[in-house]
Amino acid sequence: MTTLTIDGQTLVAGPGQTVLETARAAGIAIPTLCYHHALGPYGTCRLCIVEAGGPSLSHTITTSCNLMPADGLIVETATPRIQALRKTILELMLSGTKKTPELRCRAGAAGITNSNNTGTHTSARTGRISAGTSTDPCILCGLCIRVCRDTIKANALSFSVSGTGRHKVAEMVAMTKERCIGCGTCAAVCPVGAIHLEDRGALRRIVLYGKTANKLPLVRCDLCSRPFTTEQFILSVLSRVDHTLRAGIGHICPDCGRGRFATALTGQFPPADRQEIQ
Amino acid sequence: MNRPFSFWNNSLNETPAELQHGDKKVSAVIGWGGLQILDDNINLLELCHEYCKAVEGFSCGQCIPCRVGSRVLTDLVGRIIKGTDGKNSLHILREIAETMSLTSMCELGRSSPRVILYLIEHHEEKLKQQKKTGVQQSGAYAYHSLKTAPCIQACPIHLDIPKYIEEIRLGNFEGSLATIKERLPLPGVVGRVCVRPCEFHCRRGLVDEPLQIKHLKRFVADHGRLHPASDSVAAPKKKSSERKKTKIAIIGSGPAGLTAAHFLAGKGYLVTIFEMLPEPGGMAAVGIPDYRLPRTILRDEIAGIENRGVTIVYGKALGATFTLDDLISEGFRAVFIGMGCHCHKNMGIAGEDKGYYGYVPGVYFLRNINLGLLDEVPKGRKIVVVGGGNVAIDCVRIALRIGFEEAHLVYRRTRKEMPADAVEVADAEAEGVQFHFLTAPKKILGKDKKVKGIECLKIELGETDASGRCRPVEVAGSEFTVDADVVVAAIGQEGDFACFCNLPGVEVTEKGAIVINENFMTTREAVFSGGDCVTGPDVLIRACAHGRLSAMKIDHYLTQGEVPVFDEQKDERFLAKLKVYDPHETIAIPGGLKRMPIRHEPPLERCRDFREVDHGYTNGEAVTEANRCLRCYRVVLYACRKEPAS
Ligand SMILES: Cc1cc2nc3c(=O)[nH]c(=O)nc-3n(C[C@H](O)[C@H](O)[C@H](O)COP(=O)(O)OP(=O)(O)OC[C@H]3O[C@@H](n4cnc5c(N)ncnc54)[C@H](O)[C@@H]3O)c2cc1C
Ligand code: SF4
Ligand code: SF4
Ligand code: FES
Repeated sequence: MTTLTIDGQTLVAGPGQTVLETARAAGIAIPTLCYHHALGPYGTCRLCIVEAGGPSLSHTITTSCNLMPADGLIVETATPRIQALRKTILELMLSGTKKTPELRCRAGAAGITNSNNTGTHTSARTGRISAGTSTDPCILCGLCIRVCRDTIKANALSFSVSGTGRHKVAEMVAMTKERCIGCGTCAAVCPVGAIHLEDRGALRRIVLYGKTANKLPLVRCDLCSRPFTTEQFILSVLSRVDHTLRAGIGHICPDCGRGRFATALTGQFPPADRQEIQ
Repeated sequence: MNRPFSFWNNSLNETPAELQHGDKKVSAVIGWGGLQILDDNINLLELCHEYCKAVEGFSCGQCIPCRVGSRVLTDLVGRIIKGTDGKNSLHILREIAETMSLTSMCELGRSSPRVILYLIEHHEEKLKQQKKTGVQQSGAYAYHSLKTAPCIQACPIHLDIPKYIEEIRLGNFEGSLATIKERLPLPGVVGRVCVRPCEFHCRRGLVDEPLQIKHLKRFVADHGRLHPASDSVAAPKKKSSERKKTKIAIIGSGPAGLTAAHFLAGKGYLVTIFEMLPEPGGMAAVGIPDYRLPRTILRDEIAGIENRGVTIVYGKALGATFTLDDLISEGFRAVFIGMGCHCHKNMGIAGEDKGYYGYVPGVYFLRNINLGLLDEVPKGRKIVVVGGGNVAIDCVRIALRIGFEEAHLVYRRTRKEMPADAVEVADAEAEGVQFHFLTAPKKILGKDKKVKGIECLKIELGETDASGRCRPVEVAGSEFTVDADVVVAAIGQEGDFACFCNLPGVEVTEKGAIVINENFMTTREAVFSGGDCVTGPDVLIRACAHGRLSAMKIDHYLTQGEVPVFDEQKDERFLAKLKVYDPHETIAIPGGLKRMPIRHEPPLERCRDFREVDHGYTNGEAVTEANRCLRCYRVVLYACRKEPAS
């Protein structure tokens, strides 16, 4: 058990818990963008910075998402210095990207009211970029790439760079169509709405930076014949299921699936008074 | 006007030494370490602007402060120069630079803006004044930027280490291997046996422990072997028909010769390697034992080089079965000599010249075992190896594997002074090798033409000598005898290497080294050389580095008729003066992350056969280890006065 101090509170970190997670468990808010509880720390957005010091660490500014607690560690999450740095980081981010509603909302939720990020102040500070050169909202947080690779295991998304960017690692996100299974997890996890799913008729589009990155046909539900997901997604799910179970699984949409399960459990579904809905 | 000064790696110097890049005088340097103004006409703002542009170009784009911050810095300094900035521009400049240096993810974004902060803090007046007087875009200076890292600079072949580690971190193992292969055709070999100078200059070592750079290299090499389809080596450059007809001869299939062959074949030349032994690989095959470097790994990587169109001819020894003149008359347009240093040094003690059965020099002992000529290897129960280097360690460890029951190592200094790799010394100890430190051989004892034992003396360490090591002093009257059936002398790495056949027209030093200039040219026209035969017993990666450069030199020689010193060679020397690795640096980041340990075969089982001792990393282990890298990229920009146009 590791005991540390965060914002004056003495806290005990659970096994494997980072400083960020320990703080959040105690109700201390630290803004993050590239951290996701399902994926763990990544360390590129830098919003989660804190001041930290202690027996094993001379006083320094470091990211809390990937900081492991140590006995006697003292962490301050919102000193004026940290607030100022966060504000500048956010300002840099906002000036480098198209401001989607999601992004503005995040900025607000992060506890930073940066009212003049589009005002004169910003253009003096961040000039060329805020002059509107950037049309995509992606902040290169890497969440979509990581979720697709580590959780979905499709590995269809990766950072890419233009031909001239020899030193670059990340300039944009690119898709390898053949690997995409059309599950939409990337769109769900994107904090700024740079990826969307668009289902029209029996066709699903994955829209990246406003352009269709992939098109996949949708499979119809065996019961209600509504198009609901892609063949590739079903195969991917089945591949993780024991083969003895696989045989009994049909193509049933989530709504009908729920209905069938409820019927099996209770013998009657939907409830008599809501029958007309079906 | 600026007075010359230098503020570099935290030390201020009012009378800085001159700096050269190649034969050009450097007028100013700005970079991770600070600022050096060596020519008083330099304009600070212009210098800064060029520097910020370079940092922007080198930023990898992953973290926000550096990706956007570096763009903003460039832009802002540009506007200051043009006079279109706002009132607070220096203040804003400082704020952005500070945010970048405090919060960027890696060392590139952290170290680069520090010099801007320094300028604003200590030279604000000068900046303001130069801003007021306007910057004459005089164009008098040419600016050049470089990106390096302590580990890259320490690596003799300058692999882009942070890049290939980063690619592992991102799960792009193929990309990582491709990055290595751009410069090194033997990643599986080097990933197993390199002496890893990079790890001794790894900045993470100043925080907790250095990265396992060698094992990460091995990991991607092994991954590439298991997934050959994804082993995406850049296809050889489009072959020009001119080069296609040009024949080049390489002497020796050691690491130097193989690397040279790889790059020459890549350029489209017809390359033939002449090897005197029946086995390719040089010391990597007949010196380094299989339990450290399995022969299949070596052979597969050599097969990859042969697949590029390289022919290896075995059983041909330059000087014995053919001469340099023969090669020229057969139409070879250039020759690269990479014949290594297969010599040994006598211990200079009594009994050595008696021709006893059971007394052998280490390199021959290893060579015969490695070539499978076990009949040539003296047999017995107990072996004593004399020496403290890697060859000595290889000899004692291999002895256990061919059936010796007891293996002893005799070394005249202490464990601390052993030139051998500490990891291997520990491995040997685990396998049951017995060490006798502070012990010197005095006489080989024999009976009936056979070795019976070795007489030794106790040693005390005296004052430190020129090499910085304590001089061993014999303790009079401390003689004692160690029984042995076989005695191996493995002290060759410390001595002369006069082992040459005559090479007419090629100058050779007294010690036996081939003389080359900085372009790897010998004193004979069209004959180049590199590797152990010019350096004396050295390490594999340096031989590869020589091979790579030599290949590029030979290409220049054949296509342009002359051989220049390359920019990368000048950069290397220039950067060495700037001290990319500073062992006294304090790095304020959270430490305490131990390096990912290596799993081994159990010592008492492995020491009876030739199975590989170290296991490779799993994907997960490799990614975890890669995550420890600090990406210590450092940017530097230097200015040189342009030649006046004539
Ligand atoms: C026992 C031992 C262990 C070592 N362990 C390590 C280690 O762990 N890590 C490391 O980095 N380095 C190690 N080294 C050093 C490393 O192997 C050498 O530095 C490296 O192999 C030198 O490469 P080279 O190409 O210059 O020469 P070599 O590898 O010596 O190759 C020269 C080749 O030329 C051939 N040849 C010689 N003369 C002729 C001729 N006249 N005609 C035709 N062919 C000829 C030879 O047969 C040989 O194949 C070790 C060396 C030894 C001896
Ligand atoms: S180079 Fe380092 S500091 Fe710069 S963007 Fe990349 S990760 Fe961030
Ligand atoms: S931490 Fe990474 S970049 Fe820095 S010296 Fe070590 S290997 Fe190189
Ligand atoms: S949440 Fe820690 S760097 Fe993004």
